[in-house]
Amino acid sequence: MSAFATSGDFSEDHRVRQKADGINTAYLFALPAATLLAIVVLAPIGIVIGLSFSDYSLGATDWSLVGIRNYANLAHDRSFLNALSNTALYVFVVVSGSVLLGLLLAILVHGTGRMRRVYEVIFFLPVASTLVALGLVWKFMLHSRVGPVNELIAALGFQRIDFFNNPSIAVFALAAIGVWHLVGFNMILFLAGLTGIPRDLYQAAAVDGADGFWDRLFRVTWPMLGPTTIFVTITSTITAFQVFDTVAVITHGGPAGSTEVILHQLYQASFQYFETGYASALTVFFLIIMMAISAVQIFAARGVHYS
Amino acid sequence: MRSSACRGRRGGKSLSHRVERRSNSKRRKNPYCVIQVIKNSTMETCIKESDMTRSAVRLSKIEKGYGASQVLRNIDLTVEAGEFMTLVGPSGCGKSTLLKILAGLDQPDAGSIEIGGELANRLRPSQRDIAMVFQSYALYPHMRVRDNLAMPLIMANLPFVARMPVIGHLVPGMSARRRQIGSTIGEVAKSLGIEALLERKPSELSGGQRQRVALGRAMVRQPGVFLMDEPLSNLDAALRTQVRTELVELQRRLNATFLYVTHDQVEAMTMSGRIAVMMDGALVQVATPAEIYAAPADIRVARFIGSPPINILPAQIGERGDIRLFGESQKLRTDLTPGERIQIGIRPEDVAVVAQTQPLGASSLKHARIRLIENLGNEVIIHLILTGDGQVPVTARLPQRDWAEVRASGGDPDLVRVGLWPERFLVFDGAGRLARSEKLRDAARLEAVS
Repeated sequence: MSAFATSGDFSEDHRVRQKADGINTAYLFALPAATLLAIVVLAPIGIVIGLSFSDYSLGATDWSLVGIRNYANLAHDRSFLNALSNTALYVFVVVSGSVLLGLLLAILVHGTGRMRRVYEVIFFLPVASTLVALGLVWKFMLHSRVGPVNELIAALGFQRIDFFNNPSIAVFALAAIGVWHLVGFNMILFLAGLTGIPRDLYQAAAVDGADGFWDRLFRVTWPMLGPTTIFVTITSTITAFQVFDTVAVITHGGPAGSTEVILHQLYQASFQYFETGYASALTVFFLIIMMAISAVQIFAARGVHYS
Repeated sequence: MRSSACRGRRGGKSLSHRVERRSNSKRRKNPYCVIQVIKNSTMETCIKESDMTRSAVRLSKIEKGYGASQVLRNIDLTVEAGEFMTLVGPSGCGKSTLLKILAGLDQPDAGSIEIGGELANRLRPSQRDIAMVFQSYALYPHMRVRDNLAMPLIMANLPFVARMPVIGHLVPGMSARRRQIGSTIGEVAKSLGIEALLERKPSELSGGQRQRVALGRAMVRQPGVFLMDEPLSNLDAALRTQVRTELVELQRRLNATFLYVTHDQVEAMTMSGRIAVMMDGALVQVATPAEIYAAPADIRVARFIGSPPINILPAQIGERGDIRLFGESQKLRTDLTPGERIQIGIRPEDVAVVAQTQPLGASSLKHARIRLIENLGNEVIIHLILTGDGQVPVTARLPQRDWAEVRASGGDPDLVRVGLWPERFLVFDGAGRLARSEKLRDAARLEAVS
């Protein structure tokens, strides 16, 4: 009883002081974090959005607002539309490949006993490594004349494949590297999801007759991994959209623009042609795509089972 | 009218069937005939069918170990067809492992498993003519109740391609089977009273409802043997009592073989036809509840069964083979060797409590101090300490009315006298096994109490 009275007195006193100061103390405490957020995240976004409505180019002294002209140019820029479709193709291949392969690897690794840790480390290594450096290694690996992969293909009696100079293959070669880079991360996430599935469920499924590999996968494992699958798909999509390293190191967008992707184009627009206004419009467009993907995650998550 | 319904479901086969041994788990009889049998016992065809839906279980010489620890030792257990058998024992005694071995979810190191007269060691769980209810219910959380119930039927009746997601629905000729599955689910749901829940997900159900769904999933396959792994332990106390009786009724209705695992001795005592008590990986006693209570084969069984627990008093065999408790001869003779240290079990209700003011009659009336009284309304449990004889604690249980009489006779409220009937003693030898004992000819009744 007395404790209640005390706390009541305290809050009374507190409110009086607040009124006297005219500031809610809670907002004061949130101020440092809010400031940091504004400086580091919100202000740059605001500046980029502002620049996207201008014809500013890096280092220029005079510039003017041009309204939505940058965006209108985007819609008619054939190289942008090309980059967009290349990126979409790349994302589709990488996401489907890395999610399915990640799931499969997770199931296989989950079934191994003592070796599990070893496999986890091996498959996670590409994730932890620098893609720029490994892009160079892949460039060598898949080289049409000196690359070991082509040596193997030739040794088996097939025709050599020019992975990075054939316009219809190059984007898939890059996607393969993208899958290789992502699959370990997805596998770890799926492994975490698999650990969360109760053993009882598999035992019940066995009694019910669902003890084959595919029945278990389709009736228990994958549905139970629904939330994980959505999360993995979304993060993979976001990562795949940001493809840049391999393009910059291996193909530079070629051959014949077949591997030109949004970020690489953005990089060229802003740091090679110094068209900051145009690049800002590209950036805003990119940001909208990312937000849309995140929004999909929020809505898709409602449809799946969360235990 | 009932008979036509019963035959109707079986179609033309109902006339041609004879009592044939089931050799294949896919051959299923309709249990709803069995339900009708209870209502109308004159229907012989259905009774014959019901005889066939149940299977006996025979486990012999089952051994199982994990690494260095031996979990099951030489288990021999037979469950008769249509019997409700409970496997009871303290946590970690191996009863769940035994059930999993029977279900095919675990493999024994040695020994044979027979279900319905067939060797089942190499059969997969789904081929074993069993269904299982798990402690956690293990319902598929991503499926509606309807799909949970359908799972065993889909797996048994639809070919692989038809079970595939999406494309499975394009396989021709499956709609009749799907309809059949749907109607079976409807009947089972109706018999369990869960029709209204069919479209819900397990997360939207209460514990009792989930338990019913788990039971329904076991029933749809019409198995010969139901295996239950502590199915009531996740329910609250009131619901547990209710579901207990429902399960017993269900077992009678289905006339199926039940093997029920529990660590709760009340469940074991109230539900089963026979109880198998397991201790430390071995079967200690298999008998009816009454036998287990009245003549526990082992002191561990005596301690485990009965609430409040049995009183165990240290004693010794006298020179003439008589039993000496607290240094007094108890007019009880055994074949044990003189001088052997034994233990005497006395159920709390066999401890007589009389008022302090009662004149001393039989020699075995002892002074006791009351430590704690638990009043259960209809009866009273009194925790006592025998004064003088080494301060031995004893628990007594007596009807409320008798206790009121003791209290009414006045005296020190903390002191009473305690009487023990030698003929109700359970004598356990040095190894803890029940020993035969007989009353000496000159044994006198406890005058003071009788």
